[in-house]
Amino acid sequence: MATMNILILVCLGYVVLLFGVAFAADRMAAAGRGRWLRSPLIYTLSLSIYCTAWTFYGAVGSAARSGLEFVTIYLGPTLVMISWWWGLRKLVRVGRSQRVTSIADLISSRYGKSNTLAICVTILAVLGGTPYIALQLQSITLSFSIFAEADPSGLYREGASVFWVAAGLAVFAILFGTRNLDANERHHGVVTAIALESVVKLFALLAVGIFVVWGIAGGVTPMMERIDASEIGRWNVDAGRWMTITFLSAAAFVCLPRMFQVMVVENDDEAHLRTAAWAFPLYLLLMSLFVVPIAVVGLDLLPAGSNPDLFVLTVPLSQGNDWLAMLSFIGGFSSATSMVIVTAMALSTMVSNHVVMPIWLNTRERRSSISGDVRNVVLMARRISIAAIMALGFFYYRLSGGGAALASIGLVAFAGISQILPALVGGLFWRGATRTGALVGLSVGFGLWVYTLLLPGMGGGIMSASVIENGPFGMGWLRPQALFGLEGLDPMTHTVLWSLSLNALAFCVASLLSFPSPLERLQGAQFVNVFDHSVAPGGWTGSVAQSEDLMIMTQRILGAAPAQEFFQAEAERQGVRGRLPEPTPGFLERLERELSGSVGAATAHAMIGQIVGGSSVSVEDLLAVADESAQLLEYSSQLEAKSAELTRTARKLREANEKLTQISMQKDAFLGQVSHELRTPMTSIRAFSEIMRDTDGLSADETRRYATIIHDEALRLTRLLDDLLDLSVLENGQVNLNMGEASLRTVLDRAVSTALAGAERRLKVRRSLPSERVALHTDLDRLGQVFINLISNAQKYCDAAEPTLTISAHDVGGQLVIDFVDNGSGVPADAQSMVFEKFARVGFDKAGGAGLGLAICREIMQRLGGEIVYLPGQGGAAFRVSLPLAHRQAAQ
Amino acid sequence: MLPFLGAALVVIPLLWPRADVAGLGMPLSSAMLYIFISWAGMIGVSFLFGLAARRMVAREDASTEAAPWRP
Repeated sequence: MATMNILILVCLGYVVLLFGVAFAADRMAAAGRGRWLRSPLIYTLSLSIYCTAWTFYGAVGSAARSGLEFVTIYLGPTLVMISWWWGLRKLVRVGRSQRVTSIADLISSRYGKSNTLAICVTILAVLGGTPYIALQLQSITLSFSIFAEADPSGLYREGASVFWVAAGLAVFAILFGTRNLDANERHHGVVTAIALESVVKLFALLAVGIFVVWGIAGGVTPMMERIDASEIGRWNVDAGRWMTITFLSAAAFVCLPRMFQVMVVENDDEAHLRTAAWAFPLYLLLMSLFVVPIAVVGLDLLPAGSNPDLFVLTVPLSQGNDWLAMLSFIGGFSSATSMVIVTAMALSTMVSNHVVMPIWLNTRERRSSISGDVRNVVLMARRISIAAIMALGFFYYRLSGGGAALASIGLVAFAGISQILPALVGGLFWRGATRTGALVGLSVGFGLWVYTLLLPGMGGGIMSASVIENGPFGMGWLRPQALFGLEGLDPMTHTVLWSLSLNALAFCVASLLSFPSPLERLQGAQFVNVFDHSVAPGGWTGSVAQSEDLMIMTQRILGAAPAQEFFQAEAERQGVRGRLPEPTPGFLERLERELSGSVGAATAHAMIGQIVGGSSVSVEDLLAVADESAQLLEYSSQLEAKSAELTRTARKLREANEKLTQISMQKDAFLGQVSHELRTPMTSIRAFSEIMRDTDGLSADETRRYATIIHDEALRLTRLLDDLLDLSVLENGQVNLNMGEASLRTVLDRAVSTALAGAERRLKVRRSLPSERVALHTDLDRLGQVFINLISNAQKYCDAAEPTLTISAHDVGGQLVIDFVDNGSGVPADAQSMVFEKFARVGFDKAGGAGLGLAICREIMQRLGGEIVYLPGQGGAAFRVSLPLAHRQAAQ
Repeated sequence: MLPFLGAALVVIPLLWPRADVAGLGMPLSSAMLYIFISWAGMIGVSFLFGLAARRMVAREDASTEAAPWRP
């Protein structure tokens, strides 16, 4: 039986078929035909590179060892897919609108096009991806060796076969992965080939499964009985591992570079997600449907000690079904090759865009002359990267020597790559996330992953057993597999728990503490609110002179023809004659996106920045940021309103306080004045009464004179006290108004006669009687008191030779106004404001008034609803008494 | 709701008695039936949601198309 030779022939034939399919698909896509190449079905099938050889062979092995635990690897992605509307849709939209080329590009683009971050993610991805590639090589080699054992010729050499497999895969990836540069054109050839391989591996696994269930076990029911009777026939799953691996596979499904490549970069249409949301879980379900039966039958049929990872191959072989085994081999081969090719492509894109290109651009900057074609550099960098990554995988495989150490590396790689998750999810959903936060989080997570999982897992060579047992330098709480004393956990659960939680925590804390750059803020707004405004950020401004430089640069990257086409189209769009468009912000933005498809966002941004210089911010960008600012503004305006209110209240309080202080001072002054006013007459009364008591032999005349003085002073005191009492009653508002009706003329007649009765000097009073025919309804006695006060003041203080008082009444603006103007020198300007204050007296005390008269007048007028003011500039002392006319109307 | 429902379905098996703790645990065939049936259920619901989402997107598109054209 020349199985080995046939196998090699079939393999080669299969590879040629793949080449043919990829080539044809590329041709069809280039010719614009083959709409089915962009169908959701192809998209869904290409997603199935998630199922690698590790899952193809290893799932059965895992089921044979620990029962149903293997389904967690499929359940995680299922959960991610069915929640596509909330997560993946956004990721794909962002990826398309920003033209990202890899997950490193996405992260760097989100955090202000930071290349440092991109390099970190790239390193993480390469570290996680290389062992994974080694694992695929191992599975191919192992499956080869199964056939080699059955082959009598014994020509098979393991080392050589691994080398040729690695080399062949590298060639395939280079040929189809780096044919075109623009990510927008997508790798139709590779994707179609992968879709074909997905069908093959599903078909192979289903064929083996059907053979096992119906061919060997004899139907579903006997199979179920056989399962329950087997050594794994009871539910026995570690809860921690169950949840950890589900979570981990969900995280890795999003973060793995190869998954990102097919899911986001190669995505043609967002609507494909809708189909993939149910079709891909269905694919996973079919992939895992027969895993347990195959494992159970394998355990039953094959001798103890045979490798359960290869049951998919060995079960058909042991039954003599060579063709089925061959089919299953091709299935495993498909899983391995598709995964390796896409991983190599994705990693090489990351390496060339984020490591090689920045270095190359830097060296070019130093040399003044620009030489070499960027396009070729990029392609060459990618080809070399693919070869280097494959070589790394190959050497890793040779160094680790294959075997069981590799089998666990799949999950280890998952845990490593999942460290990107906090930065990714935070970047998509939280605008506060910053570059510093992402860097710190990634570093913490990466460090913990290396320390707690990668190094202990690599055996005694790198980390000594004593460190694992007792911690570094005997510090028990730093034991790699029991960090901070958390013992008894499965190492995987332990690592995922610590690394991801501390990663997320560091990410949040550092994000909150650091301040994002303007570009970061713009990008944050673009990413988080991608459904509101899908425009590229960071607008440029440039001058026409730069268009030519841009053209030269674009030609170097995209190639001459596509670049000229692009510029021509732009020029036509702008309506410009000739081939060079104006470097408008819109054009530069499109150009940057076009270039970022080839060299990554960070590099494209830097290259255009070199030529154009400064970047400007467009109104849309500002609006995007303003969304955030608007909330802040609203909040701060609320704060401002509150603060203004507080200021107002404080001012009112201060005013009230000042008034209180003033009133208190007034009260003190008033008391002082009252005491003074009372004391003056008291002093003369006392003095004269003492004279009369102590002096003997006073004449009758003298006695009368002194008694008169005492009497006068007593009168003055009484008047003063009357006034004070009156004022206090008025001020307290306790006065009862005695409302009555009379004409103004009557009130004035009475006031004039009272005031002038017994006066020593003659005061001539001039009145205009017609205007006084106004009926009043008010407290007539009080009003009369005011008039008497004013008239007697004029009589006392008017210093004219022939004192004359003119009284006139008018109707001004609905108010009855009565003016009392004399022909004296009036009240000095500086005293005018004081005349209505208590005890205010103008000049020296001529007539011994207490200075309360006008104060009382003011109070009375306030009670009557009117006012009394001093009228300056009337030639003499002039007072105006106003009364509301409503009183008059009420009287009529 | 869908992700939470899915997560709940996935976590339920953890409540089952384990073989090493309770002597005889849940038979593996029943566990398989439960997992695959709930899995298929999730796929079905996701399919229905896809149809609903299609209508949602179509409506969104219609509303943007109806908007006046701006240069």
